[in-house]
Amino acid sequence: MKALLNYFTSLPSDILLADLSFTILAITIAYLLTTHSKWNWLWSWITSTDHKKIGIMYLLVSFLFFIRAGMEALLIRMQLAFPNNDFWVFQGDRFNQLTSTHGTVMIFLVATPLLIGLMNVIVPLQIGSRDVAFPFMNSLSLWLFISGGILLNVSFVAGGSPNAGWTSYAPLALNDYTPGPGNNYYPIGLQVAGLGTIMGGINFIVTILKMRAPGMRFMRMPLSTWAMFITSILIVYAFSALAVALLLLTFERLFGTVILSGGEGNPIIWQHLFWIFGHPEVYIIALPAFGIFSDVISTFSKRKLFGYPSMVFAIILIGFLGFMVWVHHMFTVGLNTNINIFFALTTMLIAVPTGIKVFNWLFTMRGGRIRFDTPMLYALGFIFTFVIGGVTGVMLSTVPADYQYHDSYFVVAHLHYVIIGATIFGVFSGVYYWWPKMFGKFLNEKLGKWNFWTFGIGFHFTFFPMHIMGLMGMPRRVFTYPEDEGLGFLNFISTFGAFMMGAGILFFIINIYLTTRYSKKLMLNDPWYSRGRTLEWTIPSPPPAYNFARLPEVKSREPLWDAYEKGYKNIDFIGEYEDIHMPNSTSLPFFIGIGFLIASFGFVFEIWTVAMLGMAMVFLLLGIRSFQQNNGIHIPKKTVMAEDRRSEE
Amino acid sequence: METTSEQKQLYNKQAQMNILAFWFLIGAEVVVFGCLFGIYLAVKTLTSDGPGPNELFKLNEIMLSTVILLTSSFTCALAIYFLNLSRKTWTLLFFLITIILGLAFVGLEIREFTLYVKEGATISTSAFLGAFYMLLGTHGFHVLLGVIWITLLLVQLSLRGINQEIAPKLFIASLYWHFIDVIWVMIFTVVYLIGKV
Amino acid sequence: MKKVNKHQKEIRQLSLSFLLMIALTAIAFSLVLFQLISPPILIILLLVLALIQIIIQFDRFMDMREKEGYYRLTSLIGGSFVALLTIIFLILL
Repeated sequence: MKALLNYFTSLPSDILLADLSFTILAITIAYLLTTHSKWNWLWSWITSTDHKKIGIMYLLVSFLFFIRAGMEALLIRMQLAFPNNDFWVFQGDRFNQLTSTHGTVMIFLVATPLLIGLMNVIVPLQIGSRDVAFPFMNSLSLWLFISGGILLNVSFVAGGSPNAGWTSYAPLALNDYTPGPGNNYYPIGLQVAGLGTIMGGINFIVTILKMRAPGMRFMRMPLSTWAMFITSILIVYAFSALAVALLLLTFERLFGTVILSGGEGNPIIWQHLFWIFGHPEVYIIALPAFGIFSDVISTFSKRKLFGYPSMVFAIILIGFLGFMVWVHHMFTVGLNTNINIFFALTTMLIAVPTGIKVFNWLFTMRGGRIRFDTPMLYALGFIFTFVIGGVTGVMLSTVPADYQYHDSYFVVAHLHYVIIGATIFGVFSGVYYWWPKMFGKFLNEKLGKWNFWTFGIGFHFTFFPMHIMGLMGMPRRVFTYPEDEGLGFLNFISTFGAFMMGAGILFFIINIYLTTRYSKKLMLNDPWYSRGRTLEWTIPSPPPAYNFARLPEVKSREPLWDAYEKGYKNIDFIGEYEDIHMPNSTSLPFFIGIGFLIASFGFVFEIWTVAMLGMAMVFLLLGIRSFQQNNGIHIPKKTVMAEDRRSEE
Repeated sequence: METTSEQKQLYNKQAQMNILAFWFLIGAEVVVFGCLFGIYLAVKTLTSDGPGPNELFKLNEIMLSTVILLTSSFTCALAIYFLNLSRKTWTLLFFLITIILGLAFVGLEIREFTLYVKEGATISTSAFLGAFYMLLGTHGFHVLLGVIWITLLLVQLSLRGINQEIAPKLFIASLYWHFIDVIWVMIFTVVYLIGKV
Repeated sequence: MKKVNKHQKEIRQLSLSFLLMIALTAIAFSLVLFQLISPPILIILLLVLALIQIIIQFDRFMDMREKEGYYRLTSLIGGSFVALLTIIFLILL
C-alpha cells in the first residue's frame, strides 16, 4: 500500500492528473451503466454488425480521440502563448510528446475514422443497399481501429508517448536517439489501426461495386459515394505502403536491423515510404469531405449539382495524381533536381482538378435558393478556408521557395487550413446534415450556428497568424522562442483563437446533449425542407435495420428529386416484400481487438510471451470464425410489411 | 475456365463478392511486396563488413525450393480443378500435397537462414542483410500462414464435404497460394539470380 | 462424353503451363549458373522470363479471365503502379 502511494506521489503531475481523470471517468461510466441497467444495451452495440451502428461507434470513438488531441493542442498553445514561457511541465521532451501525439492522433485516429464512420452510415443508404458487403469485417475494422487507438492513447501514462513527431523520421525515431517503449507505440499502434483501415477500404470497394440497387449505374451514384469509392482504393494501396514502413520501423527498434541508420543504412527510405503513404492520406481525408460538400451544397441550394461528370472525373484525377506527388514533402532532402522538378509539376497539376471542383460548387449555388443552415454554413466556410489552404499549397510546391518555408510555421498553417478546412468542416457539415437520418432528430440550429461561428472564426484566429510567424522564421516543433523576435503578439492571438475553437466544440457537445435529451423525434423521411435528392432520404429516419423494406429502382442521378418534380411524394420501390436476410451479431471482432491489444503491449515492452499469447488469441479466434457456419437471421416478410406501413402513415 | 451450372451453385453472390474482395487484398499485397523489394534494392550495396549477395547465396538449394514451390502451385491448381468437379477425395489429396510441399519450402528456408546466421550473416550485420531477411521473412511468413489456413479448411472439408460454404473458401485460399508463388518468382529472380550476376 | 473431353483438355492445359514454368525457371537458373550473357542484357532477360512466368500464373492458375476480370485487373494494375513508383524512387536514392 505504501509502495503504491510512493509510486503515485513520484509521478509527474500531468500523468497523475491523466490517471485520476481517467479513473474517475471510467468509474462514472460504469456506475451510470449499472444504475440504468444498460450493460446489455452496450453489449448489443459492441457486437452489432449493422453498418449504421458501426458507423455511429466510429464517429463516437474518433470524436473522443478528437477531444483528447484537441486538449493537447490547447496545452501546446498555452506553452507557446508567451515568449520564454514555462507552462506546467510541457517543455522539452514533454512538448515533443504533445506535438507528436497531437499529430498522430488527429491524422490516424480522428480525420480518417471520422470520415469512414460517416460514410459507413451513408454509403449503403445512398446506393440502396441493405448492408455493406462484409458486415463481420466491418465490425473487425472498427475494433482494430479502437484497439490501435487505445494503444496510442495509453502511451501517455504508460512508458511515455512517441516523441519523434507525427512523421516519426529516422534516425531520430531509432533506438540510438529515442530509447524506451515510447516510440514503439507509434509503429505498433498504427499497424493495428492501419490493418483495420485496409479492411474497411476493401469492404467499401466491394460494397460499392457489387451492392448497388437496380439501375444505380456508376454515373448515377451520389458524389459522397463516388468520393468514398476512390478514397477506398487510395486506402488499400496507401495503407499497404504504410504497413511496410511501420514494419521496417518495428524491425529497426525491436530486432536490430540497420536499414534506416545513418551510418550503415539510409534514413531517407523511411521518408519515401512514409510519404508514399502520407500524401495519398491527405486525399483519403479530403475526398470524402468533397463528396459531402457536393451533396450538401446541392441540397441546400435546391439545385442540381453543376457538372456532375467533371466532378467525378476530378475526384478520379485527384486520386490518381495523389500517388505521384509525395516527394514535395522531401524537397529539402537533397534529391536530384530533376526529381524535385517532376514532383513540383505534378503537385501544381493537382490544383487543376481541385479548382474544377471549387468552381463547380460555386456554379451549383449560382441562382439557387440557398438556405443557410449549419451544414451549408460549414460548406461555405470550407470553400473559403480551403481555397486559402490550396493557394499556400501551390506556394509550397515551388521548390526554391520551399527551401524557405520548409519546417516553418508556414507549413503548420498550410496543413491545418487544408485538413481542418476540408476534413473537420466536412465532418461537421455531414454530421449536421445526416444527424436527422441517423437519430431521427434535428440538432439545434441556434447552437449549431454558435458552433460554426466560434469554431470557424477561432480557426482563422489560430492559424492565419501562423503564416506570418512562419515567414518571420519561426520553426515548427519548438517549445519556446526568444522575446526579441517579435513573435509574442502573433502567438498570443493564435492561442486565443485555439480557445475559441475549443468553445466551438463545447457548443457542439452541449448541442448533442440537449437535443438527445429533450427534442422530439420527427417522423419524416426527408426532413431538410423536402429538398432531398438521393436515396437515403426515401427511407424513414432513423432507418430500420434492413434500410430498405423494398429495393428501390434508380432511373436517374437524383431519383428522389425527380419524383418530387413529377409531383410524387416518394420514389417507386419496385422490389417485392420478402423475408430479409440479415447478418448475426458477433462478439468475435471485439475479442480479436482485445487479442491485438494484448499482443501489442507485449511488442511495445518487448515481453515476448505476452506478445505470443496475444497473437495466439487472435489466430485462435480467426480459426473459430473460419469454422462458424454463419447463416444470419431472417426478418419475416410480415414484420417488414407492418413496419413499412407504419412509416408511411 | 467456363463455368458449368453446378459450379454456379458452388459460387453464389456472397462468394463472388468474397473473391473480388480477395483480389483487392492481392492488390494491396502487391504494394506491400513492392515496397519490400524497393527497400531491398535501395540498400543492396550497403553490405558494411558482412557478405554481399554474391558470396552468400547458394543457387543449388534455391533451385530446389523453387521447384518445390512451383510444384505446390500446380497441385493447388489441380485441387481446385477437382473441387469444381465436386470430387472430395482428390481435392483433399492434392491440397494435402500442396501443404506438405509448402512445409518443405518453409523448412528449407529456415535451414538456409540458420546457415547464414552461423556464417555470421545476421539481421543486424548490414542494411543489405536486414532488408534481405525482411523480404524473405515476410514471404516465408505468408507461406506458413497459407499452410495453416489450408489445413483449417481441409479439416472442414473432410468433416462437412464439398458445399457452398467451403468451395469459395478453398478457391480463395488457392488464389492466395498462387500469389505467394508469383512473389517467389520475383524473389528468386531479383534477389538470388540477379544477386549472383 | 463431350464433357469429359473438356476436362481432359483442362488438365492438359494446366500440366502444360506447369511444365512451361519449370522450363522457364530452368532457363533462368542456367543462364546465371553458366554466365552465358553479359550482365546488363542478362538482367533484362531474367526479368522478362520472370514476367512471363507471372503472367502464366495469373492467367492459367488464378482465373483472371472469369467475368469481371476487369475489376481484378484494375486492382492488380493499381497495385503494380504504386509498387513500381515506389521501387523506382527507392532505387534512385
